[in-house]
Amino acid sequence: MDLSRAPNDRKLYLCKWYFRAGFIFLPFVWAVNTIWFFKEAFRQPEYDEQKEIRKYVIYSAIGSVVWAVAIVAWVLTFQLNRADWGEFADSISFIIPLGRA
Amino acid sequence: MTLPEFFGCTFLAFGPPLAMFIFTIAHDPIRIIILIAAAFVWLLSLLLSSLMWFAIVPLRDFTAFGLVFSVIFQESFRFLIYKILRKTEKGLQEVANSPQIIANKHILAYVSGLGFGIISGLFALMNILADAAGPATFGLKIGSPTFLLTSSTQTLLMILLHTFWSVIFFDSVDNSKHAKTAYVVVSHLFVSVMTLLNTSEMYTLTIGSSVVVTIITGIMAFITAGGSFVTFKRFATCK
Amino acid sequence: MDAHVGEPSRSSEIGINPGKRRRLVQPVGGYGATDSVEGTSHIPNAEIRDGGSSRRNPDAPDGVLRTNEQEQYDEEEEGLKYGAQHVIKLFAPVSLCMLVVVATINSVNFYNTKDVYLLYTPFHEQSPDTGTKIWNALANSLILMVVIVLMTILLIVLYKKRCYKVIHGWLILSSFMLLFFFSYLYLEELLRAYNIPMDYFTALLIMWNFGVAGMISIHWHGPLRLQQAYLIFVAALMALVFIKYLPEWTTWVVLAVISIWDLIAVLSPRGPLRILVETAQERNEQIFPALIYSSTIMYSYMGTHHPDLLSNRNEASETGTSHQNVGEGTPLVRYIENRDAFDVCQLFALKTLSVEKERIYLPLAHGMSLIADSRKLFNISIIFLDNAAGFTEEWTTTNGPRSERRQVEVQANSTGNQNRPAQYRTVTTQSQPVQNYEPEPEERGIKLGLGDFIFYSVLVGKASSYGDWNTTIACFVAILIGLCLTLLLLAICRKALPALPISIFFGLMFCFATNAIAKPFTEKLAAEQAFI
Repeated sequence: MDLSRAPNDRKLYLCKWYFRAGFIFLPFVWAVNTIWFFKEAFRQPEYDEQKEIRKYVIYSAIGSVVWAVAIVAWVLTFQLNRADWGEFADSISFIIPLGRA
Repeated sequence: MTLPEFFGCTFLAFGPPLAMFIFTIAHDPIRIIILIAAAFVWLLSLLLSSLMWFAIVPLRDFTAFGLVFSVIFQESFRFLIYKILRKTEKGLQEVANSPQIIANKHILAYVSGLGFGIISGLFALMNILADAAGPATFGLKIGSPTFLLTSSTQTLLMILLHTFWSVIFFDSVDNSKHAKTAYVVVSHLFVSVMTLLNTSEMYTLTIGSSVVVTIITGIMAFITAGGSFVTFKRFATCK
Repeated sequence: MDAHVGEPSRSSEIGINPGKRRRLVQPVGGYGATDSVEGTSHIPNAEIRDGGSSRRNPDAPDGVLRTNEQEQYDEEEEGLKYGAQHVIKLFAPVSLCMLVVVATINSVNFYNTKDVYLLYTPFHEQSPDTGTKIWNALANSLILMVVIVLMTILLIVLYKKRCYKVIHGWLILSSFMLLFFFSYLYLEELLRAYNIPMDYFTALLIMWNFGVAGMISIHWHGPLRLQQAYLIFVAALMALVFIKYLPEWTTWVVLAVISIWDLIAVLSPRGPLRILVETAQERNEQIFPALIYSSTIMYSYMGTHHPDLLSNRNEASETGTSHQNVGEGTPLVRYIENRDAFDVCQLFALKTLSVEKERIYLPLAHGMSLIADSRKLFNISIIFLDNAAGFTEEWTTTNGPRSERRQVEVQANSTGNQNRPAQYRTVTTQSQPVQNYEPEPEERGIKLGLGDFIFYSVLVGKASSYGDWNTTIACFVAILIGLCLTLLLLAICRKALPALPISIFFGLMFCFATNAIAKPFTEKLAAEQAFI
């Protein structure tokens, strides 16, 4: 949908909704929220709801960055230590790579 | 040497055409459509020539035969797309965003020529490139190790040549300069026939002659499109 | 299947059938609201027309400026102009979808190997005998077609009966399947193909995020780009499913048969898809977003639960200024074309009715905007008329030097709010430029059914599964040219057209011709390094 045609309180509602939805392990939704509302929050002439939108956008951005760092850290740990962890690593593996020649 | 070779050859053959596409075609929807239409027409010509090659069984082993007929078909289909574009010019004017496309007749020629070139280049090289990316590499046991390199160079030359040819061809038919039309057909034939020597790996000769023809044709196309030494100097010095 | 190209908002309005136009702006304040609206005798009636149009209100004063033919010609021209820009807007997603499929086919072996088949294709073409294979393929595709036809008819019946909940449930379920189940499979096979290790936590997190975000953006609100991306991915996934689970020859027969079915379904007077499109036009609704790829903004039903917002809007309308909030109900979109100025200028949207807790809010046309491609605003007058009073006024504006006078009238029934007198509002954009509107040159998109995406991709993917790039490229070019021709026809015919037949016919023809005839020739040339 097109944000520029949406009324202001609708934008706020959407932004808030996306922000709240992000709490159920949905960092991607936070990232979408950040990008989607970034222009609304920082590039538009001021209006009443903008302050709150800005708040949610910033929180979403922080949340998604934290998540991203966490995921990258975990993936790195897993990839580096997979061989060492032995059986445990295999038991949590979604894909166990085949040996390479 | 598989993946680096693959990328190197891909960009050698398709880098300049890609740049031409991005900077001169991509911004205008109508040009993209004409490009694709030209590609389609080239495909038709290829199908006809391969049908010819396919149907005449005894001559199937002589590449030269199919090749010559293919060149003739391509040139006649170039004439066909010329006719189509000139017929629909009025319609195009209404469709196009900018009046420029009609005002400058060479744009249509350039676009359709690039369409011809790109599709012929893709057909000549795509399968080879796909093989090159794969597990093995060329020229290890049999064949020339420079097979890929020469093929992609020749492809680039052909793409450029097609563009130049179309510009010259359209203009020459417009102004009924038959000598120029003949030049297009003859130089196309010449370049194609020269590439037959590639089987005996005389790459210096074939690519050398192709480069010479490309440069001559490029200069001719430049002059045809209204360029001169003065304009080139102005362009080079960014004035 | 949902195979058609259509421009509902436009064709409904320009429609060959002027009698229909009265019903155009039927209010749809959310799905549930429709019935209560129809119950009242005050069906708001909004109409947009241009001053010189021949399709004017019968009780409007005379003043026909342009003849019928002229009008028609202009519209044709405008249609073409509009076509050229939008063709590319469809080329890009179609190409992307094909690219995803072709890349997957070439890198992930899973989709190439035949082991399991769809339930609908009981004959597996395992016999070496060609006759049996053909027979199997025909039988399979017949069964599949019967299923598709039945599904389509079921969809139409549900739509006709306004069982939106059921349809939505159906669509949500199917997209849920695709976004979670098949995406999971896709991820697994992709990782396996590239031999990348991954743990369950990460995989589940990725799937959960991907799926939920997809559901939100397809079925609720999301950024347009994200929605388009998801639709493309879903279509590509579906195409991969078809390629994987349909037997070899059945795929080709299905492609042929489905384009014939598409032809019948869209063009024959009682064809189900035609009924679907016409009903949607009549109700002035969008066809479900999960079925259609729109090259531009997907209008959605929004703002129905916000009373204060509505009062806001009414204020906005009263003062005659445009407010940013268009998009409620389904806006009627119309191009207004100016002949001597640069370009198509366009769009205004109509807010229709909003219902909230049995209260009917004032249906006012508001937030009209008129936007020029060249970022120029044209003279326009917008008149709010009280239709109940039977009053129509011809309103003229001062002419701009370059723009021909065009006039737009909007009649809105202001019956919902009794304490409001009939009002006349005029907004001349020149004296009072529409604010808050960003010029958006492409408001009116061409819509292409997702089914078309799927079958185009099936064709190209299938062609590439033989490992010959030339066939793939030939197929691709042929399909694009077919799409071009279809869109050209669309500009000429101005009604919903089946998008499959021409493209699929071209595609099939070129695929087989290239594979059988051109492939040996080009292979020989490539091997000998002979260039043509």
